[in-house]
Parts: sequence; structure tokens; C-alpha cells
Amino acid sequence: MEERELIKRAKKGDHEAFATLFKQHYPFLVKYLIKVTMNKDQAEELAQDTMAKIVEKIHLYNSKSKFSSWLITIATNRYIDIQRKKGKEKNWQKEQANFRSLKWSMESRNEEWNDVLAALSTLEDGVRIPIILKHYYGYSYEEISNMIGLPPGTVKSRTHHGILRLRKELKLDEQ
Amino acid sequence: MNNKQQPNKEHELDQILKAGIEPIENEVDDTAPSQEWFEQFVLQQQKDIKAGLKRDLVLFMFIASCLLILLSLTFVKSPMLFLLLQGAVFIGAAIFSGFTFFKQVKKR
Repeated sequence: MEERELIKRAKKGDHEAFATLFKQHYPFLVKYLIKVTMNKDQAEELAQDTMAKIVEKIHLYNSKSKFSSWLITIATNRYIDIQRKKGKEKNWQKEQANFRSLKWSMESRNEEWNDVLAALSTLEDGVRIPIILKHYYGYSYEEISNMIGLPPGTVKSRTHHGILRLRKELKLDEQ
Repeated sequence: MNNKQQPNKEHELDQILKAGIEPIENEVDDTAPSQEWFEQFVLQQQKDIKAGLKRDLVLFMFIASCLLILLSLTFVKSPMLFLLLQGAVFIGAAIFSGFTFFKQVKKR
């Protein structure tokens, strides 16, 4: 069944349509959230939280953007909300623990914890998220601005400064 | 010269970032939980949303009733009416709570 039809049925409360939609997008959502949170467990927890929010807010989806984009918009905002509720000091410590946990998990599967991931893990959420959305997923500044609720200028400047830090961290300008 | 180098630099960084982030994609396999698991999840969420709405509605009605009592008391200045309305609201709330509670116990 087509995605549009599934969304139409989900808006009417059809739980099977919801389930099919979620099943199709779950791996994409979790992978995105791992990149944002740098923690697999937190990503899976947040994915469930996002799906719960989608069940509640599906009537707000207007089909202007792709469903997957709307999904990561909700997920990003949930993550930002959760992080805001926690203390900054505690956040930093937890973030470092998250990175270590992901690093360990990847290394245990013989995956390389490379310089890019190490450099990304030094960036704050507010900088890392726009960079991932822009340079990995290819969204425009305007789209990212709508996704995370910040003016396009702010998104652009955060991305720009983040990129400068990444270039410095990766020593790209020295080559 | 610099302007020409800028897109190249950005493209180069895009490639480096994509290659660097790619291993995270392997962190999760492409299999999601079963359709049944998602169906149960959605049904539970829909139930929770309904329960939340019901709770909000009851709270709204309770507050509205209290306001009505205060308003009536102010207009009529009758202690008897006040007591009657108070009693009615209390009994109504108790019946509703009892009914909800027994329904939950029965389900378990």
C-alpha cells in the first residue's frame, strides 16, 4: 500500500496503517537518532517516544514534506526538549559517556571509531544536529530552520562555525 | 580563485563527513520489530491518549462545576443550594472514580 494511503488511514486512527508506517521507517529513524544522540539505547528509546508523539500528532501532518522528514523533525524536537530539561553540566558528562558507549559498541564489531565521529562528538547538540542534517542528509538551511524551529540565519551561522571547528579538528586546512 | 575553491572545499568536507558517519549506519540492522509489536504499541498509545483526554475532560467539568457553585452561591446566597451542589459534584466524582477504578481492576 502507498505511503499516502497509509497516512490517510492512520489519520482516521487505523492502528494497522500506523504500524506499517512505523515498521517501514523505524530503521531510518533509529539510525538518524544514533547520529544525533551518539547512543544506541537512547536512540531506540527516543524512537519509541517519537512514535508515541506521531500517534498523537498525525492530524498535524500536512504532506508538504516527506513523511520521513516530518518524522525526524518530531524526533529532533523531542531530543532538544529532553536535553533542555536536563542540566547542562550533567548533559556534558552524559554525552561523553554516550560517545564512549557508542565507540565501544562500534569497536566491538570491528567498526572504526574514526576522526570524523571523534570530531563530531566534541560539538554541542545545537551545532552537531544542523551539520548532520545539512551535510549528511542534504537538507537546505530553510528546511533545517523549519525542522528545529530556529531562524535560517542562526542555522547557517551554527553550521558554518561548526564546520570551521570540524575542519580545524580534522586538520583539513593544513593539508 | 577563493570563490572557486569554496564549493570544492564544501564538497570535500561533505564526502569526508559522509564517509566518517557511514559506520553508524551499520550500528542498526535494517530489521525492525514485528508488525504485531508496532500494532500493540499503537493500540497502547491510542488507549493512553483516550485516557488522558477523558481525565482532562473530567478535570475540566469538575472545575467548571466548582465555579458554577461559587457563582450560584454568590447570586442566590442560599447555603442549602451550595450544599446540594457540593454534594452532587462530590457524588458524581466518586461514582466516576469508582467506575474507572473497577473497570481497570476488571481488565487486569
